Amino acid sequence: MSLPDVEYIRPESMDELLSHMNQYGDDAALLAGGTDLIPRLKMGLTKPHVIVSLSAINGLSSIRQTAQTIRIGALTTIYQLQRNPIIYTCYPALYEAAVSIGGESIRHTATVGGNLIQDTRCMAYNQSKEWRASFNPCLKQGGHICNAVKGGRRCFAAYCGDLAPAFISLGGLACLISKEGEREIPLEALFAGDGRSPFSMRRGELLKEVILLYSKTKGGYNKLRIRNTIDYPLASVALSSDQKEKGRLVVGAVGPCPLTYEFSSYRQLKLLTEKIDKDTIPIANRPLSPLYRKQMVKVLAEELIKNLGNSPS
Amino acid sequence: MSELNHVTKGIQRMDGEFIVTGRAQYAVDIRLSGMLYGKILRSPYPHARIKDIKTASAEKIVGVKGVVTGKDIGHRRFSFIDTPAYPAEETPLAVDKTRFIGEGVAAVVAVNEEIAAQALNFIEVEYEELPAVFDPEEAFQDGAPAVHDVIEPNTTTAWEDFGIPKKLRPYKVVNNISNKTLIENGDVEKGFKEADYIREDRFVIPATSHVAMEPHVAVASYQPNGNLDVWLSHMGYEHKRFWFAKLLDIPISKVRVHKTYVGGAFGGKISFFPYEFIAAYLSKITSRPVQVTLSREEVFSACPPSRRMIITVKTGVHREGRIIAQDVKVIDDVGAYRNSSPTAMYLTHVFRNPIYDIPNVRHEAYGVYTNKLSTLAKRGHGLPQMSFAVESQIDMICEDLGLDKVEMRLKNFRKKGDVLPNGDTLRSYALPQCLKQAAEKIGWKGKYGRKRLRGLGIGTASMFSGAHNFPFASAAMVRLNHDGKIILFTGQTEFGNGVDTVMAQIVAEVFNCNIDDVIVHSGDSEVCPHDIGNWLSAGVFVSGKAVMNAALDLKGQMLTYAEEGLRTPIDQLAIVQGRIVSWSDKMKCLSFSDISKYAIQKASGDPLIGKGFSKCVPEVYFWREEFNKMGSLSSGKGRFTEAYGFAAATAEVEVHPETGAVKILKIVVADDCGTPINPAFVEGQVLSQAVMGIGDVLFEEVLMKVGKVMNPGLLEYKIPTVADIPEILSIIVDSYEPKGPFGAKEVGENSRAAVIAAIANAVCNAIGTRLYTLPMTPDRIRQVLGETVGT
Repeated sequence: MSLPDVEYIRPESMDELLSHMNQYGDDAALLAGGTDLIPRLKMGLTKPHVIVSLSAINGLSSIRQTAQTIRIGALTTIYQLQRNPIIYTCYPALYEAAVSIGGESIRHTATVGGNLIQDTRCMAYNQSKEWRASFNPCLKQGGHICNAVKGGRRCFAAYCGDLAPAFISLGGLACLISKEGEREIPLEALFAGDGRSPFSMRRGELLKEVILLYSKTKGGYNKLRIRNTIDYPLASVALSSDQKEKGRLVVGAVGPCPLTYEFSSYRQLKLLTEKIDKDTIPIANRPLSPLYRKQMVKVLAEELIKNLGNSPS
Repeated sequence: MSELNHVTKGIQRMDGEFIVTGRAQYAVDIRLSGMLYGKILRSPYPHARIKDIKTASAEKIVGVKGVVTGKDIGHRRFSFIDTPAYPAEETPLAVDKTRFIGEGVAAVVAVNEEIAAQALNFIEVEYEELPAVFDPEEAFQDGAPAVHDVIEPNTTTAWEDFGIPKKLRPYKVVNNISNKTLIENGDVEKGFKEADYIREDRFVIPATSHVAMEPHVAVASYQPNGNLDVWLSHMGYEHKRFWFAKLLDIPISKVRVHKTYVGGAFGGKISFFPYEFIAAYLSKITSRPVQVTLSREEVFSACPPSRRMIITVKTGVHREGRIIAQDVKVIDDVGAYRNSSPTAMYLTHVFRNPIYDIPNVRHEAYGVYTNKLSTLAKRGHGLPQMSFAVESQIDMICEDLGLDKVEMRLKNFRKKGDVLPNGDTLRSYALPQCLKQAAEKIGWKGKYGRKRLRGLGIGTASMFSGAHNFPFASAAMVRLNHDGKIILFTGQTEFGNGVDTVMAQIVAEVFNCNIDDVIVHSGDSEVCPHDIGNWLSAGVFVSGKAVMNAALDLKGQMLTYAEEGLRTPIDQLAIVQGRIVSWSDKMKCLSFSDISKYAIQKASGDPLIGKGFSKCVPEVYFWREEFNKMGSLSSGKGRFTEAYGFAAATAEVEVHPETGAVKILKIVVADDCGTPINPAFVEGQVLSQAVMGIGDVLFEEVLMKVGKVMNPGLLEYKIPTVADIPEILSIIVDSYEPKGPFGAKEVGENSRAAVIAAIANAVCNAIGTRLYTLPMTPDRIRQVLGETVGT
């Protein structure tokens, strides 16, 4: 597998970048750390006309604190995120999610934005061109069938990002920027819920930063995987609450987008697990049985809830 | 034994610096003038007839120097085992039909890899899909799609070329059976009648991949005079030379396998591969060197992984635990080509045979063709699969009868000095000590059965030190250099096993010189003599002995000249730190360099070359019509090996009641390798096998769906990471093998099987129920936990 021939542009200012983004739209692929893009390029899963590098863009890789918010730039590496004392102290769900990503060398390269806007995954899709030649193109490839589940009519490729459930559990906002300007939306609104086309962003838009309310939260992140490092989650749960028992529980990696559940007391939180169990319908497009992954969501959630009850205020 | 200076010392690898500084030359590093690059087009169908292949468009692409198909190459057959009973059936490219997804149908050679890969897209293949069969028990039924029909040899088979009398005959495939083995000792039915208790259990073991650090690669340079130079990623050059020569119809002496560093093999690089022939063939037709590199995905999905087996074990015991009868049935899900199945079906019995003394045994095994990629040896070649089955069942028998799992095994072990039914003698046998030490170090007595969801398990294994398989023996040469350094020529293959260093230690020990005074020139078939290779577990036992004998021969010659030169009788001479010294007068001494000068000046230029040789199983031979004690793969009769290595492992695990996740707390492996030539290397072998075993039990499986490998990459094929490894303790048990060099015997393939059995037993002990298949992933454990613990 080698990289295809494709044009490479390296804009040196935000204006230049946004101009290119506007011009090319979906024909451009953004290159930050590349840990999601490069494998997909090599496998022939994505065929952009141009790669737009973000390596010369300044101002997007810092974690800034204002009076009320923490603003995490999209080009912040995962390593920078995990090393930041505010993240560690105030947002345990986010910290635990960050340190669970890949392995240490990946975390030095991968970025917050890249981790958030990663494509959905499926064992029948994330394969080389030669491998996929045995099958007709699947729904995610623009075809008419699902190669993971016979007779499937919708694409259930799973969203496997670790940071998104954590950010969403913290009520994070996504700041999107384009030639038209900036807008802020709740991070969960970024997800279209479609395995084929997971994000609802406008043409020419890119993620600039994630905004969190500056406050001390409680919670954590549990990730189901086979090995203790490297692997993507097969199911995940992020839980965050403020000091007044109000917060969110978010389920990840069992469908095309994270599932968000709000609660305003721990009593309410404990009752959520039944609903979560009903909503969780993973399919056989990842390793381990779907029934097991479904059962584990409840186990992961209950452990986080129990720890929440035990943690000091 | 007198004090040893080099043998039993854990010295550092001599080639370590080369490897870590990137100076070591692997096959993929070879750059030859005018070199071209080859890529292979592979079938996307599990079973299909090739109706037509159009290569014209691909040939027109700028930079493409040739395109070949199965029709061009023809029915040149090869296999791991090629005998009159089991003639080879695999061809470098499929000719009439393809039998597995990934089988090569065409190849392109071009000026660079990108163009070669692109050109594959322009080859048009017209396939007619055929019904395919994936399950071996289905394939065995009447009416199942036939993977092969009649295998008609069109040349002599390899063993006929090696010298057995010619008996060419076609092999008619019935019910997709590729080969059969039936070994019987005593009378199992009578044994079962005498038994107080009988258990029958069925185990299913999937394929696992070798995952060597270096993927498969070959460089071939076919010269105008018919010489073929190759650089390979392999485990022994004799086997490769034979097949290159046979398939290209050139003399073996024209095939030179050059020395390369090899990045690990684990059994996955033994046999001759299609891509190797294709590199040579493309080189021949283009008259330029050609490199063919397989991607990691190709290695996972088109190169044979370990053997898939269904093993049914029926065992009868007396009340107090003595095993009286065992009936084993093995179905080897061979895949599209037989490969090493005849060997493995025999090894599944003979590898376990030295462990338990079972008077009545029946071992029936057969290979079944299916439309999947074929399988091959992986570190233990059948031993891990059998150990998992047999040791799991022993634990179950102990649980059923209330017997102690350590004591029951000790009671059934053979004894040192025993002669096996086939005539092999167990001259060194420290397995009981291995088990006792492994049990003690894990704290068996104090911990067993104490804590819920915590389990302990045991595994045992034994392994040959080579067998009478081509090339049957090894030779070695040592040469004295005029600067006093000793150069060793050995055909041994260094693929991470540390063999170059071990051989140097043996030479340095014989000469009592510095290790730096020994230069090893290995793995070059032009210069080094014939060698048994490093895939029969015979490296140290056979080649080490040849090396030792060569060193002794040269030493004798040097002492003879020293006797003349110092005018002192030989029995008054000794070698001390690289100098030949007279006992009585320490001033009378000669350096090795002095001896070289003496030989040139006073002995007419005698170059002082020592030669040594060693045959793997001296008693066994065949010559013309005479056969002596030949091992038979189908009946198990005849001599097998001269020495067996042994290992026992224990494991302690903890299982999470809700997730079913297994946490391994500790693994102990006790190994009987006779004398450890290099204890640091022995520990390395044991640790790496333990890590492999962890992968086998908890993570690894070549996942297949309708003949398609679903996880052909390092992300989804899950080998253990550093974060998954527990404390592993490796013990070298005190032992000495009289037939081995300095008392050494096998060590590289045993522990994996013992560890697999130990971890599997520990997990089942922890959850209180038995899993009959691998890997024991959390979902499988959770499923049975839900049924018993009732959380």
